[in-house]
Amino acid sequence: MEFEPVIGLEIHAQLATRSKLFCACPTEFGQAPNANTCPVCLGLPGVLPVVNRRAVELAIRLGLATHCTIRLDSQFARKNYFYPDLPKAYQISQYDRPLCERGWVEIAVAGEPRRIGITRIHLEEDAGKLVHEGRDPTASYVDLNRAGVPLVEIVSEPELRSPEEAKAYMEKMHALVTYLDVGRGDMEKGNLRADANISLRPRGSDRLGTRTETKNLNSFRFVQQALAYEIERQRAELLAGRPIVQETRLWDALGKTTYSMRSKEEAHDYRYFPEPDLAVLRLEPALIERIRAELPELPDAKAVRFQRDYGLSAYDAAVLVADRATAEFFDATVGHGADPKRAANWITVELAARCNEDRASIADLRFGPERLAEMIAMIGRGEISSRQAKTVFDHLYATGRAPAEIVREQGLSQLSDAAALEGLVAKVLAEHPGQVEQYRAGKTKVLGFFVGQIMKATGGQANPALLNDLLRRKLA
Amino acid sequence: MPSPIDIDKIALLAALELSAEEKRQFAGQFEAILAYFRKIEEVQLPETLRPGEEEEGPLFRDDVARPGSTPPESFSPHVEDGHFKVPRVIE
Repeated sequence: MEFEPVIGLEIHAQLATRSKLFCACPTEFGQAPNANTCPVCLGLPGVLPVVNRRAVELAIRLGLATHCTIRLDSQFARKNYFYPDLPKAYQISQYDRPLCERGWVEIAVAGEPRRIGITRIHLEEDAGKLVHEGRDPTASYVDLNRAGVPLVEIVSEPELRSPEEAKAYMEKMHALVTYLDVGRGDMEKGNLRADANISLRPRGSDRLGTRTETKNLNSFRFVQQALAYEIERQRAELLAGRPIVQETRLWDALGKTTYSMRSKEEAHDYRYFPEPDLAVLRLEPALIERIRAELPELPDAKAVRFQRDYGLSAYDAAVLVADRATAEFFDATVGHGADPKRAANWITVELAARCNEDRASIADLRFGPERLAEMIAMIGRGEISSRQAKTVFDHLYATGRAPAEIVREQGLSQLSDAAALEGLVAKVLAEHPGQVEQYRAGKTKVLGFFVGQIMKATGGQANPALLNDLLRRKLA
Repeated sequence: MPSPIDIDKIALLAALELSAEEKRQFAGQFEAILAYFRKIEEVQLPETLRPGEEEEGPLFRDDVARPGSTPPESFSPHVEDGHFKVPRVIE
């Protein structure tokens, strides 16, 4: 039997605020354990939460960018469960009246655009962190610095149909979050993480199968791999006639498998109810319109502009806009006068490869876009060949020094002075009358011999196009 | 009227082990609390006075951070290297 996967993602993104969602404690990462805590986020008695205006505005910004309707009367709710990382024994979240509802984003897999529905985007506070590697093996250690840090939870409709689509959707969400400055999107720090819901059903059926949820996937690749694994696992279960158990699973990145975290018997009942300590979140339409007017250029619009104004292919444009810093670096390189297609090529091929090798990002570069533009201009003026440019680029990437300086220092400059080359050509032709005869008798392959002689004489620095041209003219 | 209280489920959610006597006792207390809520529900309130629906809207704070104010040692005896120490729990 052929099965069709039905996938929905819940993405949690940390909002880029200075202070927590309901108190003034800093959200800064990497502080001493429990340094960023106060009676509110510790859940001590007799305190009241007060909403961070910035967090609400950032969530609205993301809602507008994903075509959601913004509720003017959303409400916070208590989600009750017991765990040592949750000091109040409830999380302040939103339930039946989320801030943003019914939106969509467009993704493309293999060039096929698809619109994926967003069910809701709501605000909630993060939990603390448990450490299990302490002195006492019978204890766990709790750090509540993260408790109360603002998050948005972005819930997609179950409209994703493959692990590749799920990955593309998460990449799109990451791009939006970072373009909008809604969050920092640093996946290694868990700033953006996904829970993936997946079930299988016979292709053509419109009934949903039993689903599993794989939690805390903090990379695009993990989402894709975990879903691919779950598809195979569920398919095998169904084909063997065993029912799928509705459960929460975890991804083991080393073993590349998912494993059961808690079974249905322990499934949580969160007993949601409206948060009595916070009034309904009433918003003025004018606020929504102000935030709408301030939205920056989003990735889709940027990709269209790159194709229209710079003549880039849809593929190159998509690669460039996937990461905001890369797109801005490209824009700035072109702004410094670089040929757009050459700039796109250097950035998506050479620069991307080196960043990938070093696990570095654009922010870590030792050089700015003006340097890359200078190098591209030197290629355009024939001062260096494309091959020499790779050497220049290696030095530029390693040291960040000016390309002209690198060229001088490495003795790379291309001999493009026609008068100087002409003299050399005349000399070499005079030294090899036999080969000149052969060429004129129709054996035009000898041209390569002359090119080789002159390259040898110039240490490989002769401009190849100019040289070929000169030789042909002199030999005609 | 059958009791609306499923004391076994509540105990499970609260991760508590209750004796038969405790179950009877707590179920009775829960029922008394619910009876009181039913009494409150009978009061007819104007729409604008429904809890959380106040007219003045939310009170926001600006996004200004202040250093944390409550060192864990100041109120918990179970602190080690700045962490709260709890019985081991791994899901």
